[in-house]
Amino acid sequence: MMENRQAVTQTNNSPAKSEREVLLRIDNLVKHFPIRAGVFKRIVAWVKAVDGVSFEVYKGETVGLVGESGCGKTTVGMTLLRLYEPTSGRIIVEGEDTTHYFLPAWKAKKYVRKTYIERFKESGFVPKDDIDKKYYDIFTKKGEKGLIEYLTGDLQAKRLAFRREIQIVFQDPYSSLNPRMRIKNILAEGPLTHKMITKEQVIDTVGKALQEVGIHPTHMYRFPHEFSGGQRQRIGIARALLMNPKLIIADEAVAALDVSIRSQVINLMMDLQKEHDLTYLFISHDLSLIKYISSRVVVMYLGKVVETATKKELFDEPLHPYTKALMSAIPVPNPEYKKQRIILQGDVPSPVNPPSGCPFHPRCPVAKPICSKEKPELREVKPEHFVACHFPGSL
Amino acid sequence: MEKKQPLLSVRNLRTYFYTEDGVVKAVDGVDFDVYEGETLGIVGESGSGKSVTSLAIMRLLDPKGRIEEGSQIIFNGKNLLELSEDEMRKIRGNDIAMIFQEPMVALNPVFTIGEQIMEAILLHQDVDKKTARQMAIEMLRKVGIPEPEKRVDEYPHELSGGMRQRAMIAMALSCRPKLLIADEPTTALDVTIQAQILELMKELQQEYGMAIILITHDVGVIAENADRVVVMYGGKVMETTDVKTLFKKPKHPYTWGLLNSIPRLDVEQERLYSIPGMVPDPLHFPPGCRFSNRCDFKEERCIIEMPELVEVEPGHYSRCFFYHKLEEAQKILKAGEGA
Repeated sequence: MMENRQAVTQTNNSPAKSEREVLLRIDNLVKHFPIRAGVFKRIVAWVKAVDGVSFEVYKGETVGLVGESGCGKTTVGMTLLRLYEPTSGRIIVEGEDTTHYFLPAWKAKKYVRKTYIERFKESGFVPKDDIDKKYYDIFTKKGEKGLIEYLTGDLQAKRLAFRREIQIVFQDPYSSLNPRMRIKNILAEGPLTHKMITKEQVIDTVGKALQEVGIHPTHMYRFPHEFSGGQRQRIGIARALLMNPKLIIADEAVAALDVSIRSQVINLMMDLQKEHDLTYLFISHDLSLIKYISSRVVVMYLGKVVETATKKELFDEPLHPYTKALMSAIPVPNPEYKKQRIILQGDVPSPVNPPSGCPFHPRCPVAKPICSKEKPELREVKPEHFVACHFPGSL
Repeated sequence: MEKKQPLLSVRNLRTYFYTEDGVVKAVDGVDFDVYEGETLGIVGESGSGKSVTSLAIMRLLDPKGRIEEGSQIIFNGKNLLELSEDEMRKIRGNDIAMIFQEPMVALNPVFTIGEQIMEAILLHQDVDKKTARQMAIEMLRKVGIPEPEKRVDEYPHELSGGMRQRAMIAMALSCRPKLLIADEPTTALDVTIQAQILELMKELQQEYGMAIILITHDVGVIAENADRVVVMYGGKVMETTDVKTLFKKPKHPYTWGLLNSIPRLDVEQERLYSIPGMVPDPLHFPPGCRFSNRCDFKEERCIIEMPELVEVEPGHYSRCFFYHKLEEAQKILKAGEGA
């Protein structure tokens, strides 16, 4: 049985659990946006776009982050990249806390004191996780100053490295390439800034990168408008690839493309993954696509993770009513395929005033009184299958 | 199958756009029939001419676009292209109604939902304002909008995307049209809302017995909602048949490629097929078959000569010289899946 499971995960090119290395860990990430109103632009409410999201991405795998519009999946991506500063929570890359990297030095120090040092000083402190252990070790050996120096020293270099290691491919290939720049300059900008190549190497490097994504190298002298949507998306992928990243976030990277072009780009991304041992965080609303490309899936609803499992687990036996409803709502291109259709009532509620208790309870066909009162925690109901529901599998 | 009189017959429809760069043959000789009470799905990618076809039926093309001589759109025995603008206006909204992809753009932001529905009712039916308002509220109730008495006085921006699309459907159906043209009605919506809207359209179709032309790029939506399907590519009909046959035994390489290039929930897929090349630019279609430059089954003849749409099996039309090659390809694919 166990062997079986391993075989399955391996074909999805995710290594077996014991030998997996965590590349990215998101720990209780929260991002709230203020709504301001009136003459003095006072904050009148908060949009709780991401409200306590945790998941892990292992090296070499593809995690699919799926949800409907407004569930916060894009905000997770943007906050990860620190294009938004998180309201709270931690973003851990390869065993180092990176949450404070893009804060001014004094704020970064304040963050370290609050998150680690204050807790370490408490009597009877017990490390919660690996990070705690690692930093507590430094704390006991080198003292408070030593830990602050370790975490906030040379922030500029850390920022640069972070920017290089995590890349994004955006949804809209029309607005994500500067229309005034030639492809050569668009692609060379990153590697030059990070001193990965010299000016003399530009043509060679860019040419190779273009070839890899299936665009003729001589096209590097063209402008973005001379390319079709699919080609532009290939250029966007080449741009990310050139930085030799550890993680590529693909935010609805193929949503804007035509069906026949979409499969070309998906296949390209999967080929590149094999070749370069890439790790993807694939953000999409399209569950069929997620099923095809991911090895593990995270389902979000209204700023929260409702279910996460390996692809096989999730699609064979979805346990959260929302996941199940979402699957049943997807039109299957087979007129003879009979399925149980669950039609959800109503719309996704506003993230400004999310429902009490379980965020899904107003639309849930199997909600019980407790669902409107108590927030279900994300808990492991089967190995590697986490669900936030009081009655998992009841639909 | 008995031969019924079609509700709408489109014959040799050609719609060209005269631009500075040249003539864009957006729709170039399209034929199809729509029968009473059925749903005809038109599927195609961007630039295939599916939307222009629907606008041509409604005669709502922008001035640059021209419906060429020899085209026929016969609705209930009348050629719509020969009607005067006044006569056409009586048909639009009354006999043929249309819903669009983006309800926020299609609805007028400065009028309430109620006013917009009443406009259609007052124009086509001999009723006073009070009755029209009552009818508008009734329609809103029918499309599943909660508290229609209140919502009737709201503006489009006060409704969510799904509710706006419901309001659009209410407006389109207020005069009980015989034909509803739905151009990507759910593309802008989330899947759970899409399921609601498609279900609603099915219910109303059964109740009113109207025919629907469902235009979409989503093959899944077609599979679950259409009775017959027209596959368009490069301004031409590539294949047309009933929905089950199309998905089981496609007879055109484009349809075949399209069906095999989408990720699916119902089967395990090792690798997606992908149609090589790009969606063609309508200014520079390849000579011969329009799909020839992307086709994996092409032969020399395809590059020179445009195939006709021929009946390859009863009720199954395909525009391909070498459609029989597909059966072998299908076998190879099946064998691959089994391994």
